[in-house]
Amino acid sequence: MDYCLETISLCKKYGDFQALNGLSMHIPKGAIYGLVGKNGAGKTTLIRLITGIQNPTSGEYSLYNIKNTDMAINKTRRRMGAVVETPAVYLDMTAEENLIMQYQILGIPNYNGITELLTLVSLADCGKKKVKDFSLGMKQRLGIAVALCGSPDFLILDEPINGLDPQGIVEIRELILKLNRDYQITILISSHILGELSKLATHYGFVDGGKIVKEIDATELELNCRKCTHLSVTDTKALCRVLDGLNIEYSLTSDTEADIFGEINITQLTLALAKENCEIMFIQKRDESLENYYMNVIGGHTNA
Amino acid sequence: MRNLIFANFTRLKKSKLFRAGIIVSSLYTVFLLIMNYLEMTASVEITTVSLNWFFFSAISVAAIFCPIYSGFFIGTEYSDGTIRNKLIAGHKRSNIYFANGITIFCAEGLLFLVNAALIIVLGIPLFGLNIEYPSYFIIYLLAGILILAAFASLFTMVSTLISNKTSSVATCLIIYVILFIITNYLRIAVFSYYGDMTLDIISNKITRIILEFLYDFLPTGQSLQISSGIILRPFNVILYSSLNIILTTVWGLFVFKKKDIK
Repeated sequence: MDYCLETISLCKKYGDFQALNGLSMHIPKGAIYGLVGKNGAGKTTLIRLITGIQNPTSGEYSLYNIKNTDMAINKTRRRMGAVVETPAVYLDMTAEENLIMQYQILGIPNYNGITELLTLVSLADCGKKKVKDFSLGMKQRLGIAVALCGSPDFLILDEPINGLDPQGIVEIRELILKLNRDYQITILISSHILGELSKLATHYGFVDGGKIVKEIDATELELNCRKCTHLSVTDTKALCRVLDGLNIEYSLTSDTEADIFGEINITQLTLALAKENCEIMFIQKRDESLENYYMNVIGGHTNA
Repeated sequence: MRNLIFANFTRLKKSKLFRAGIIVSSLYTVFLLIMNYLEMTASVEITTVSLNWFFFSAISVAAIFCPIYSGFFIGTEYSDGTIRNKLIAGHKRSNIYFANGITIFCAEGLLFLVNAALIIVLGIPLFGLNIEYPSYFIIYLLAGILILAAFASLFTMVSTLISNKTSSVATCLIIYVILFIITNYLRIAVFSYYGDMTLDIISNKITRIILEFLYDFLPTGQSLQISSGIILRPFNVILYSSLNIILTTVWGLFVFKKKDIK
């Protein structure tokens, strides 16, 4: 498989604090890679290292097969754009001026692409408004536009939806999907908001204690997350008797509700419960959520 | 590095602080020219005024501007986080450092050139093309350029190593003020040897040598000498400015390369 980014036993120490502790990960080309972890797990530290803002204490990483110790890494970084923590934009300039500055830093002589970039991030109507007067969502979108200057193949977004309102979250999500789908940009998103990641990511890396505890793609994740049928009944004792009789795995979640695992014949179950004078109030198909999967992975890692 | 310098110049062009510096220093230069002209016309003793001192004053004014502007210019890169864009784009830290230093030096240089142009445009009609000791004038101007470069190097180092704009500006100003106070004391100590007033410490020959060395070595001492129009040892000043530039650049670059930027 072709990897955009690989890290091998990356370590980073700040004084006595070990922020990264042998982190190894692989981001396939064309993926939307969700980096999942709690606050302080090491997500931002990892991003700082791979973007060149800081140097690792030990270990190495490769960007498009170029090692970080190679002289060519600086040139390879041109293929990457990033928004690390907060958007890096000049507050006293307009959106257009910020993009012009970035074009100049990248050495791009032609400013023709700026209008399209502003349109892509829905900032084309900002005019002469200075960035210091932007909302947080607008600043985030401008930060992404700055990262997209130079048409990168790899985009890194560090917690892009932090502090955004629901509309802002939807706009960023749609932008990310568009960039991946229409422009084939590989995207690394770090977040601790699992619900949003589950709508975006094609691959996941779970970070805890400064290392990756699990890497998995979305297809494999879906297979691993157990499906169940959730139902509410009038008599859980009757339900238990019936399910035990049918040799079906289940779990009671309350006095009136239960999760039944595996495939079941609804008609057969309904008729069996009717004989026990038990009524079904509602029935619903469910998958194990990313949240539950994450808690199992991290919890399992902690207990290992 | 060319791209970084070009981008920095774009920022310089838009900078309100830089424009304010040009305006304030220009007004000061015009004020000096007019006041000296009025003094000359009102006095029977003063019949000529040389333009040398006006040019050298302009160098000192540009030097005063340096700590303020470098703190704001480089400090903004940290406070707005835009230094990250340069690193992510693949620019080496050494290139970022040199580009900032060159920009600060050019900002001072532009300030001086604008004032020099004013002196030429207004000073010559008022006082005539009156340059005393032209050879020394050239040497002093060269020393002046190196003094500006030494200031730029010093305050680029300070601003680059402090990751907060407010702290950066404050530290640069405090360093300048402390150096200025020390330099004034050194000036009294050094010139007291040649005048009526003597200080006890100056009677020691070694102490005098050390104080004279510091007076020539510190950028504020050099600036004070040039603004008064008396540089005791101009070639020493040129040498020490060059040494200042090398030492501050080497140290600043060494620490910046190891710095963890957040």
